[in-house]
Amino acid sequence: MLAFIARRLAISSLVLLAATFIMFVLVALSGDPLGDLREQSTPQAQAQMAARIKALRLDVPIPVRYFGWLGDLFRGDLGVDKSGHAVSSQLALATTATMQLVIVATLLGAFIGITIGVVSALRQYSSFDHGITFAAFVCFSLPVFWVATMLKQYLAIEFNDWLRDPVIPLWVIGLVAVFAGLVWASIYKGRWKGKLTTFGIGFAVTAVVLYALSASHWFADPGLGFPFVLVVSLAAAAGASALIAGWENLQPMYAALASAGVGALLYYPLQQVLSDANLLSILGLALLTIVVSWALGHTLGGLLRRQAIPLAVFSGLLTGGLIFVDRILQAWHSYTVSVRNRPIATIGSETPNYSGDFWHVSLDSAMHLLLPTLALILIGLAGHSRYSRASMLEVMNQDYVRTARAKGLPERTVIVKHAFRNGMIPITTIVALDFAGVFSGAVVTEHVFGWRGLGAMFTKSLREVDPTPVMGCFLVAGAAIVIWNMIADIAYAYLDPRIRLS
Amino acid sequence: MSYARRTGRFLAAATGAAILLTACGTGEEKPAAKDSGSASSAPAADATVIHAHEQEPNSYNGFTAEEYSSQNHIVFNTRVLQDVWGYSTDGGVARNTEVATYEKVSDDPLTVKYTFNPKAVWSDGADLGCADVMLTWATGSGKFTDFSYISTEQWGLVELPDCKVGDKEITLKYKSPFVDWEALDVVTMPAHIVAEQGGLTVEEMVDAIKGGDKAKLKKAAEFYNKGWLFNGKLPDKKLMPASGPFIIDSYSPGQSITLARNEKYWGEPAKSAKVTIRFIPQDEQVQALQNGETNIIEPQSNPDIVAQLEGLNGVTVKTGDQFLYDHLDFNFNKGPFKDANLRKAFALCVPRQQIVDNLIKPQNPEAKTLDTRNVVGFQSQYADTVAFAGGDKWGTVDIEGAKKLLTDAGKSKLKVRIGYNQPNPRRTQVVELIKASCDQAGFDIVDTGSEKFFADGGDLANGNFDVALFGWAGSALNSGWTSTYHTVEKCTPSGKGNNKGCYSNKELDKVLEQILGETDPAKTIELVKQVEKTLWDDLATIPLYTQPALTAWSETVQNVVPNASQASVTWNMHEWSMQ
Amino acid sequence: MTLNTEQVEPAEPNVGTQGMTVTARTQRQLVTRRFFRHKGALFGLVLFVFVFVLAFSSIGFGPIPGWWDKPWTGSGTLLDRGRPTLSVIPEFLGGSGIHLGEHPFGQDNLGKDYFALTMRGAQISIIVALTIGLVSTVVGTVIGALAGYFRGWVESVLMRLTDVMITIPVLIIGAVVGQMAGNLGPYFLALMLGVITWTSVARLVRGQFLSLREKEFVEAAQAVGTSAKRIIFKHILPNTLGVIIVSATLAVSSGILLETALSFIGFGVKPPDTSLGQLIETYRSAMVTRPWLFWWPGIFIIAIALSVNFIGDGLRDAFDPRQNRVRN
Repeated sequence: MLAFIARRLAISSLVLLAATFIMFVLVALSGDPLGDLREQSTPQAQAQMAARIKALRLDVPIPVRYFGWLGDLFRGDLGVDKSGHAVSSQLALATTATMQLVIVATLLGAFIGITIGVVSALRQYSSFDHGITFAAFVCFSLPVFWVATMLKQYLAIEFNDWLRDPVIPLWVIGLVAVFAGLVWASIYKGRWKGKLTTFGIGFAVTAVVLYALSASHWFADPGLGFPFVLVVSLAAAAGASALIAGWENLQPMYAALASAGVGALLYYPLQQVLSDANLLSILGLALLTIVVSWALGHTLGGLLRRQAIPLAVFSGLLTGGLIFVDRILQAWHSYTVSVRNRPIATIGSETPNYSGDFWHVSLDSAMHLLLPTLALILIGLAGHSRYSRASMLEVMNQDYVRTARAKGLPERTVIVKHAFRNGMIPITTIVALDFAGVFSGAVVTEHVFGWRGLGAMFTKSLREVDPTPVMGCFLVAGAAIVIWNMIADIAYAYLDPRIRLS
Repeated sequence: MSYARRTGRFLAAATGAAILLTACGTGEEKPAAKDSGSASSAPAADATVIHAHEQEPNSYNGFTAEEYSSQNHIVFNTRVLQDVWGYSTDGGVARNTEVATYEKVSDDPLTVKYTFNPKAVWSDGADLGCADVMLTWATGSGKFTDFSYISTEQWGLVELPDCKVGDKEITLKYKSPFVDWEALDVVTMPAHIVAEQGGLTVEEMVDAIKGGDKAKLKKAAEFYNKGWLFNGKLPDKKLMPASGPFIIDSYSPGQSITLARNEKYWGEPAKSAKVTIRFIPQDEQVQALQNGETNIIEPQSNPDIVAQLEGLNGVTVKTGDQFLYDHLDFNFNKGPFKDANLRKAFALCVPRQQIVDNLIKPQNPEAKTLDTRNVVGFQSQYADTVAFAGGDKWGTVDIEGAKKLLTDAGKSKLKVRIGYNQPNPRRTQVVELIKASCDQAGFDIVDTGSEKFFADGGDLANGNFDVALFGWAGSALNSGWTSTYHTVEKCTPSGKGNNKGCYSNKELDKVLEQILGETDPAKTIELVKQVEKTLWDDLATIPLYTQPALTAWSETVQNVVPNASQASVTWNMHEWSMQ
Repeated sequence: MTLNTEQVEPAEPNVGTQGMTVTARTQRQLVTRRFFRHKGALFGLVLFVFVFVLAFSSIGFGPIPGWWDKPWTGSGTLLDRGRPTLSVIPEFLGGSGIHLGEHPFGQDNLGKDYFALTMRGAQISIIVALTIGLVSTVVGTVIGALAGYFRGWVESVLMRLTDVMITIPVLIIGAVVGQMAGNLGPYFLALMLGVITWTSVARLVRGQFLSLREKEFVEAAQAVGTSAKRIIFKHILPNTLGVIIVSATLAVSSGILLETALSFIGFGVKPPDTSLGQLIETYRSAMVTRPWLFWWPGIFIIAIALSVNFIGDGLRDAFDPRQNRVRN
């Protein structure tokens, strides 16, 4: 394995090296680096041109410039841009900004996409499947910036306007409820009578919830509250253990419920601790949750410990997450006041000079991340749902799945244990490869949302025909892709026994 | 048990539970949210004025050849690093008497006496005066080449000032007269910082400058060139004292830079405690203004943005001219337009009024054709100059007149290549309009716009055009443009400089040289009138329009005044205030 | 999901499970038949043909005139602030009747007819997308086939080349190529973009070749001394056609979005020519004041990309021999 990784790394580095040469030459040839100065009649223009010719070494041939750059690179120096600024410091900032944007979007996009894909595979050719297929293709076909511009207009500006008096008109409630009902009904598998009931329930629930939220002005001052946290975390714990371990195996379910219950009961005591939290204490709490849940799973799990422990940890973290969300929503009201009642941001990654406690600052980041992440998720979602659907279908037709059914295993076991696990193996590669795609999407998204990440740095420098920063961005993007590919290969090898054992 | 029935049961249970939950949730969360919401410190919305600018500043020192750019100037060189003068709203010179007063004491040799405000100090308490002027002389005179300085054109004419550290009165003597003496950058960067970073005392540095000791200043020059660059973070704030009503407060890379009131400022203090410049791409600025994320924007003007802004509540929109104009240049070196009559024929068919009506008016309802080259519509001497030079005669299209001139010259279907830099939709449309009009008169207009028009070896440099369409960025100063119309030594890509069409008129050359040495503004105006008249008589170039400028701000901000010059709207940011 | 007896559908009669009733069909007939039974694919095909015919017949192409009388260049006078005159609500529903009107999609600020402009944009976008799809598929197939069939050093060289190209994110190299080639016209730009986006096809085809070349029929062909050229083109390639066609449609739909994204960041098709991406970018600021300038090109991009995606989905299902087993 080590030899394999080393060989891959060596080849990848050579590949990256070759790519840098191509990129450098292309960038240097792509335009006129002095273009903007030629149109100036100011007496300074000549001096500026001379300075730029010197900075970009325009007086020597391109290959010489490339090897100059390469020489610096091997000395650990990424060089300077045309006005003498170190590329490395710009790159560090830009990479951080882009990573913030890309990682959340990749993870969420993958999670939601895979869930939808798996469900639509299990309901192949149902109206849910058709609807998802259609929606996925529409998402596939959307230009990112077109969506982003609309998100800004409708989800930020008009939503903020609406927040001044957050009452949902009745016809909107009706429409949303009908839609929700249709979605539920389309997932339901059975005859029309059952479908109709499901539709009715879905419709009613959605309508009542929306009406209640609207009437209580929930959006002006949102929160979850203890009962909600308690019931949802218990329900989620029960649901997850039913799915993974089955109703009939009670030990894992007890472990999960215990972990969720303990977490939820700590709701009030925790408020005091959380009031002056910081990132470190939150991470500490998360770690504590994991340890306690692990212990609960270990004690209560009995013979099914291997299932109980992850379930308990999951339930514990979920409950913790709910409490976290609840606490951050408590800061919502004062946050909106502090940003002049316009909480959803359209530009940048922070409100300038914003100072507040941990919750306010977190909320501020979240509100700035919201729209760009949403745009990226929308684009990534489609791919993930399609690939995981195809992969699941492929697996469901394998002989071993048929065998599993033939020997009388419950459907849940067949799907979760036999089909799902094997179906996810190719998805690991896709998620890794898709990282590169999201990266490309970030170039456009960053522009629309005014993030100064790799994409912004790249387009600006390319427009100015300044190769050094472009190469810096390329090195990061290229290296990320190489590394992700390698991780995917290793994960693939690890997950697939056929490769691992050969 | 049937799978379907089981699923249904589960679904029903789940949705039923969901009703309960959300009902609980909505009922219960209220008190919890309330008490903690009021307990947590609500960050106050302080009265910071936020201005949006696309580019991020990257150096405190915007005087080096590498960093001489608007993103540094609009932030620092308006009200942080003040000089003895600034651009007024019409682009002229506005003296800043809070810093210093100055007057011309002699014409021959040109001598200017600067008297600094006795209270003037840098924000760290250091004295502002002689040492700083000496530093500017060292950087700008070209005597100390280790310092990178944007132009030695003006300081190169100034003799070594004779003052000692602490002096508040400084007299500058010119070797030869210079037209824009009022617009000399006298105080640029803080000398005491440069000295300290160069390992010298201020006195030692001034002595080294006087003695021409380059070696001693080497380290100081290194700092001057590189020490103020922002490499992802601000340099030490101690290195960046201010000489204006604002000092740098904080900087968040990629996001914003905030200026705070300079408590040590001796003059009128800034009205707003803080001003933030947020870095927002031009085409995203309108939505940011609409969403309250910025208060002042200067987006690239286009009809939709103007309409959208005018549709917003609580937003003031101001359109106007800027010091940027587009013009047609004839090729005097080769091609048909060496012939004055053909130039005249072409000028007669160019629909200057229609171009303004169709392309500029939607963005600036008051736009007019630009009838001069070196004076802009909002300058007071404009009307006089136009009348004298006769530029207004060329406003109307005369197809018949053009046709006659062409037939007289024995030409028909005369091919004219109009070159410009692409992509530029507006100029593409200008060429479309010219073609529609001039083809009727017997020209055959060919659009030869290209991406490489300005490049080395491009059409403009090599003279591969009959008419060139491009813009000049101007100012109310006169030293910048004279070389554009001066006879060139050699009509080669490198030899012709700004005179792209190699236009030549020996009489005019003398006037242009006279302008450069004229120190009396009133006389300069008269000389410029003559230049404009000659240029129209010769039809050297055809000016078309000034490019429209657009500024918009939310009505909660007071005292926003757009500025046509490079100083931009930030020129009076110390007067901005939030309601 | 065979457990659920209620849900089992009758087996399809045409697949050969019931041996005797089946008349022999060629592969092509089978694929065509399956394709046309795929509702989504049919919808996609109809939509694509509609957009294609509309775009190319309305304003004509090159020397061929179209039925729409207004040009996409030249400016005109603004009528009613350039509002669209298209109406689809019949009079008896309170609308103004179904008609196109003078400027169905409205006008831009110079009074250009926006229908003609959108059609021109659609033409260019379709051509760019198809060219990208075609070029990348051909290049990718040739490289993948050579690498997969010959193995050895040919494979190493070609696959390392592929790796180099994959390392460079498409948008990045596309932007560089766009900046260089943008002013040489949309066709050249499309050609260049095709030349850099072949990598996934090459990998796919190589994989297919690697497995097919070990099959008995190839061994048999080699045994009787068939030339490599003949084996590649006559024996193996037809067997990989399905994969290639499917990935070609994917390349087309991602091609149209690539061009759009490039136009947005300023490295795509350059004026005076236009494309749908270019139009959206130009009129993005008009979203609130004159929304038609923003919506029409967007709708056409979605229509084209969506139809191509559906066609690709249908083709994938049609070429997949296991298709009919999938139904539960």
